[in-house]
Amino acid sequence: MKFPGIAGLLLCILSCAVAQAQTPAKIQVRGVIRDAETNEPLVGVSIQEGTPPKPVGVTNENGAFSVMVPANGTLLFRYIGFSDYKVKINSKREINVRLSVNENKLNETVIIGYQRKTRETSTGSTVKISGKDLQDIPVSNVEQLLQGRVPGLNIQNNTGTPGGRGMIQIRGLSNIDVKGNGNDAFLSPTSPLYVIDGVPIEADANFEYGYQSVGPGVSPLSLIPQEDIESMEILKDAQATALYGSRAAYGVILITTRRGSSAVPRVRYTGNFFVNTPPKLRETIGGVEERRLRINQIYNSKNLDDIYRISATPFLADSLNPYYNNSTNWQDIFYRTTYNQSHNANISGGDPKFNYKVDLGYYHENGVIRNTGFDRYSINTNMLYQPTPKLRVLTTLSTQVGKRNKGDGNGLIQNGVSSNANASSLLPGPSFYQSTSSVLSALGTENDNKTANVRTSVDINYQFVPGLNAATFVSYDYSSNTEDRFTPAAARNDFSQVYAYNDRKFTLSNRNMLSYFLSLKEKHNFYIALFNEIQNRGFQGQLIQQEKTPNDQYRGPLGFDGWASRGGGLLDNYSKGHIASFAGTFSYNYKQKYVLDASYRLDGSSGSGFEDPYSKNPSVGVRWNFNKENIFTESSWLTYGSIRGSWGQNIVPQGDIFAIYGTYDPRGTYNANPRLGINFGQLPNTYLKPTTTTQYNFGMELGLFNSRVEVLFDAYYKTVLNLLRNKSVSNMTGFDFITTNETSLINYGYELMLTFRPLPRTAAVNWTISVNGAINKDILTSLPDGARQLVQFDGNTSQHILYRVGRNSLTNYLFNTIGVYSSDKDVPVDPATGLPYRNGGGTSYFRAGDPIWQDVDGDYILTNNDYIAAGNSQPLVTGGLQSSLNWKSFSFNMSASYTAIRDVLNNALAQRMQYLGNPYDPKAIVDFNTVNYWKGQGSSAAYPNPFDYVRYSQIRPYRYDQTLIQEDGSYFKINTISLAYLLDRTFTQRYGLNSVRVYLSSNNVATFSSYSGPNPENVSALGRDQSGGYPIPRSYNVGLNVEF
Amino acid sequence: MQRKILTVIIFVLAAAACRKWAPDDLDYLSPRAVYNQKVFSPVMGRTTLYSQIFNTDNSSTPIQFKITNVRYKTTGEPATDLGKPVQTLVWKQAYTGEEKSLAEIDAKRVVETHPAWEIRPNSGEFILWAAADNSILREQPDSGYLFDVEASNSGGKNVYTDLALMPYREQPYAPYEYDAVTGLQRANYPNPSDSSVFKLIYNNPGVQNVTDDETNLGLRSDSVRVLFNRKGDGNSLTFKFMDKDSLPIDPARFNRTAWDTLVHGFNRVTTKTEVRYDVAYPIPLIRYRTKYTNGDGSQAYVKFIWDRVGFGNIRETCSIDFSFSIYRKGDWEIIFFFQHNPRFRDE
Repeated sequence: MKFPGIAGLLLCILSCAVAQAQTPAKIQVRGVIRDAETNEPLVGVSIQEGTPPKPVGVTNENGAFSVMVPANGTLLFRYIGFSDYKVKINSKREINVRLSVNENKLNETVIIGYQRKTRETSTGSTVKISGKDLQDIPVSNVEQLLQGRVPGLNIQNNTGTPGGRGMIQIRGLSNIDVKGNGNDAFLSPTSPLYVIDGVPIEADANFEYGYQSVGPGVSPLSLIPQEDIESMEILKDAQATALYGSRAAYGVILITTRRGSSAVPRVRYTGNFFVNTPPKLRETIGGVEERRLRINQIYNSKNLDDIYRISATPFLADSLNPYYNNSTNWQDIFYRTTYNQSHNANISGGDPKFNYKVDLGYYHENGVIRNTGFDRYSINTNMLYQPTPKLRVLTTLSTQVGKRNKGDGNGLIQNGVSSNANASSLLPGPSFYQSTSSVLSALGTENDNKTANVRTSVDINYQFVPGLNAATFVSYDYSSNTEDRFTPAAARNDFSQVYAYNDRKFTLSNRNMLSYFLSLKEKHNFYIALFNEIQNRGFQGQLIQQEKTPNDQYRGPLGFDGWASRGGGLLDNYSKGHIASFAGTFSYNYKQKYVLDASYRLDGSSGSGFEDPYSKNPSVGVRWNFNKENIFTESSWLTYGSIRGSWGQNIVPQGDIFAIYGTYDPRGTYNANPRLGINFGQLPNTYLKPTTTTQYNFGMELGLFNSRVEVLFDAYYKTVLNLLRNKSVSNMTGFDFITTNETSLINYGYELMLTFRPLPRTAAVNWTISVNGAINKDILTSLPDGARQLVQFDGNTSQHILYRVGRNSLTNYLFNTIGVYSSDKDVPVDPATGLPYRNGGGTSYFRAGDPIWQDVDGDYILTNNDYIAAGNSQPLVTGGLQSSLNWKSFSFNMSASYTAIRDVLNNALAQRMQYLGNPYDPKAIVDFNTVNYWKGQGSSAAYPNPFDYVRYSQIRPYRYDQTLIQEDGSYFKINTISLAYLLDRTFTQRYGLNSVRVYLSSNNVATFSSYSGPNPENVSALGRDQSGGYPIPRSYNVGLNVEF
Repeated sequence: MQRKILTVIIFVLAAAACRKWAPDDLDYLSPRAVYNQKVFSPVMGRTTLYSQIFNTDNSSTPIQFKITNVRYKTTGEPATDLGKPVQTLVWKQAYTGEEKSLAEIDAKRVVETHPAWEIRPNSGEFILWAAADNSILREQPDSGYLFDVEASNSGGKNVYTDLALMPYREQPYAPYEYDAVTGLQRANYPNPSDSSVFKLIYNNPGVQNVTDDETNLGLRSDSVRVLFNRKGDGNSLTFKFMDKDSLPIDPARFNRTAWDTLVHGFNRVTTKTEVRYDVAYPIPLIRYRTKYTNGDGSQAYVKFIWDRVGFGNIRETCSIDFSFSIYRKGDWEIIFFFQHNPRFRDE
């Protein structure tokens, strides 16, 4: 027997057959049926018996029942929205059952391609997250709660900045474009397309310029209150996303907000009061200890000039001067614990003919770095109007304002704060009488940054005859971002600065669809739809920067002249785009057993070259629900089972008009005639194509033992073609570079999600535990001009990025640190010249205490030829774990996530060890006792000698471009824990409250990792742990739900 | 039937899991990786390393290098000379200049067998070992050898053709007053059109503050010749001084000379006529700045100093100094031959 399941199955069948042979004796069975979660009695539950099941009764208004059935029979309880529940009577007289909400993944309704389907008939790979899982933890951006819940959805909450967002990828890398360098190197985000109630949202908006982003930098997702979310659906493969094709190449996440459904108007209030605490800060060496350490270090150099230099360095020598006689805790000046709140009122009501919802939200969070924070005000409404079964009109209107305070940072990173927090403890902290300008800048810069967003849509559906529908959908999304910043004169070298930025962005989209559904004898089901889609987008930003206001109270209006203005005007980030698409989709299923989906799209985009603006995107998917085969219908162990496969293609237009048409610049006048000249920077590419992903997906879904074990498995192979990359061109063309589509990569991987319900359904405790994991490997498959390799050199930290065809797309290109020279004799010697291994072409020979960098080319000189392809900055394995436990009125939920096999560059460690390499520089000395550094001839250590400041600049033992600081960034994190208690309804109803629920929760509870830095998740998308990053706070929350 | 269906499912799963459909991860070898230098003319008798001459153009390292197709340039016939093994001293530990005995220096190097003209397997650098002499390689004016270099890694193979090796004859010491190609003593020809009038070139030391004993004028540098003389095959270096009558000058006259740190030698023997040290060859041992060398460590540096009372009762410090190298092991003499006598006496 290969499978124990089959043995069990055979035994089951056998025992059933034996049972049926006996003559049944009828007995009376009584009991009460309740909702497992709320413990409310369920009215009208159908009770069935026998094979095939025949109804024998229903529950009364108290949920109680009493039926006459054979003593050895099986009872089946069936109720809409709940899972079927089967129980063997075995002569029991009383059976109390707690039905749980239908958690059978197969019967979930999913929305794929603007069409509601049961999962049973969908061929794509999707995961649905209920809005319930996204409550109880107040967050500014609901996206972060998805972490670890969906296999293949890699979310790294790598910044704690309020209102910001982390990194999100569906099924691996989709872009390898890195802007900026050093710690600011920024991987272009490839966020999935978000569709909120049918309105597509650009989640990457405001982050396209890397860390140098302008404006308030509020993610559109931060504007959605989590309380308003009914469900989120993550569409992963090409078939599922096919009909969102024009921008769906990175995957699609659908957000459905709440609707009114109750005849009695309901008012739900949710209030959260939470405390954010900064993570454990670095232990620094303060005061006299710091001075002694520095002076000892200088004395140990035995260099008389250096020792004399102490006298010329006041902060070392002048220990009696109150200015230098301090032990300032700089971190404490910038980091704080904050008290925050959020309130949300959701008013809804109506019946199927007319229903409405209004959601009012307020969210207030102060950042753990002073002078930062995020406030959100939102009103989201929708209304459904269905006067006849033929006509249905749904309108939504959402308005949100996000206010974000960035201090003097730029939202994602706070370099000003980090460089100040790294100041020597000997320097005096800010006081009433004096302060340094950088402290004033971080704390005194005034921000008034707003994002205002209006999103509205109308969805009209008309049914001509049964089966034939016409629908039109119009949406308009408008947002305006403004940033007003005033830096006082004292904080900016006596010249105040006024900075005013504003931009406008709009998206207008329209979709018209004609669909027909036909079912022949309930066996052959056909669905065919044709639609077109038009989208129009635009963006323009402006900027004013002025300096030297007369005083800090006068902040404008300021005249324009060359003396005070620091440039601005219209920014060059203007963009305007159009998309026109025509699509058809066809679905067929036979008894919902064999399913076939096919679709075809033509997407024309102004982001594609005008020579070939339309891209053709077909997709096809099949599914086989094998549990419906006759052989399995009687199966007791197989609840459902299906395999599916799909193939399809999606695009994301990436080009802009400058890349396609080139640029003309105004060049002043000649002979009083205005001149226009060609901008010779970028050579236009009229054949530019959108980034295209082609994806194969294979999936399997299994429900075993009455859905007590559910398995969801997917394997995929995704090709990302036509990635845009600038390519330098020969100077004889007259141009500098051209944007081409020659880069491509693949992702392949496996995703597994297991759900267990270990306790029987009758148990008082209802426990669901879900584990998921995904392995994703990306491989670069082509580079411009057929090159095999491209190195993106980094002039700042020298942490170069290697792109080499055939290996992971983003490879760290570093010196390989093997260890530390324990003694001088360990340094290899060139047999020909007799010289020790040295750094560069000079005379900086390595000695004991220096790191051993592998001499790859064997020339006894450390050069660029010794770089190796060292690591992958992208994680290989991601996943999570959720547990949900209900007992009577208590519920306990936990969510965890993990990331494994990822290389993180601990730049923060390197930086603070570098500070030890210059005792004259007033920088913080972080406690280095945890670092196993070299302590003298013959001692073995993992880290080199940081104190040899004389040779420091020649050797740079703590340089960034080495594997010494590359560490494994694997971690396991307990994201959230919540404990809720539902007050007794009979008690609360006495006071007119339908239900009252209180809960305690915590976010970012704990991270377990072998990583030596503070948090392996708080690193950039390229895996660099920059000290300027915004720390991720831990929050403790007390919350309240009241329903009137 | 159930099992059949399960088998089909398992099979499809396995099939989905297996295939990679991706290009192989190969090294990169740039077609534009080049040798910066293609003609090599080292001087024989000393170890010469051509360092950092291969520009990898960011190819993946390590690259494997191999010398192939060695041939005589004149005839094009294949030659095996470059690969001939030679016994040569190689360094095992770094020379620091702080060694206290000859044994300590010798412990840092061992004799190994190497091809006369060796290519470093991963860096493409060339080494001519000191033990390769004109018994092994043809020296200029012969046109020497041509050879090809094959560079390869898993990303492919580049062949660099027609690199040339044209070694010069051995020059046992430097500065060397004989011509690198002909071996004749070099000369200056004041009149380029008349080769019968010439003045031979000799090595001269630096002369500081030395008075010509006859004329009371400053002694010119070309009044002192430095002569190198190899007396035997031992391991010593002797300094001698001769006046214009070829009579020895007592080294003690150079009374301010730091004899102990003059050269990195041991067992100093001072007589009335000479100062002798036991030394390790070559001198300097490596190109590394020590207290025995000049500023960049390329040559040994000696300075002989004396003082005397000059006119006006002022003490004058007089010196002659000289930078030199000796590549060939032996019992060498360096003779400072004064054409005009220096003044040692007080005024």
